[in-house]
Amino acid sequence: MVDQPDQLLDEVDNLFTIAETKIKQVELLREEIIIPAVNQLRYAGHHILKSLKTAGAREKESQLEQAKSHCERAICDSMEIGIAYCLERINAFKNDYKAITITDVIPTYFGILCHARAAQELIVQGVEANNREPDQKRYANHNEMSKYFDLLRDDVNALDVGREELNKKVIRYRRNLILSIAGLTLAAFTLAATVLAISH
Amino acid sequence: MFRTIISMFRLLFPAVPRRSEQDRKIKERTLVGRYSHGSIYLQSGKYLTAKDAERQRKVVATYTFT
Repeated sequence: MVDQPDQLLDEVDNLFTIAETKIKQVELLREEIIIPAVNQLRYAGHHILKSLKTAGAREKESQLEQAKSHCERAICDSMEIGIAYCLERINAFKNDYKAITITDVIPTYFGILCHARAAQELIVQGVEANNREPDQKRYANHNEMSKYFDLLRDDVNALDVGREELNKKVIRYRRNLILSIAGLTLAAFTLAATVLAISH
Repeated sequence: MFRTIISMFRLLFPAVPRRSEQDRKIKERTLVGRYSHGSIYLQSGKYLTAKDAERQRKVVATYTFT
């Protein structure tokens, strides 16, 4: 019984460190403070303090359990926001280069889209669960969310690296398109002129 | 008579429209930036609230990755 709060404290310590790291990662990525996740860490700190001040083992355990769930929620919130940001970037990339083939420059593009879909599914599930039962605990899957966030962060980096080469392709594509239109117009004028010359 | 004058006055000098949500947000962020200390992001009004996050989740749910 005495060991249990200590074990819980270790768990909270571990989760708190993870949450801090993840919040910082998302903060640096988005260049803005993630207030909901930071608030969850504040609540966790409050419960940790309360657990340190109480003498009863049961009360201590209850406070640490609450701190643990706030840490998990902090991780989940920050990861959701980080994933949403990555999905926005991938979607913007998709729209920017919809006219050209991407896979010859970024061979992993289909894999990236698969990661994006799976991560989107996670977010959609979260939104639906929240709509059904706003207070239900849905923070146990923080490991999965962290996994997808790490994957998508690397994917977004890969897409950014590929942009320069793809921009050259877009320029080539535009030039060819303009030349084709100019050629077709010239051909149409020539044809019209020839028809007019023959008829007169 | 008085009502007609008022309505004509309003027609000639229309009321300034209420501030938009966007204006309110800019003002809010400027205030937060003015009174915050420490974080450089907060000082420049760069922060994401729970409401913003919820809106973003809903937008992201509409994307198609094919």
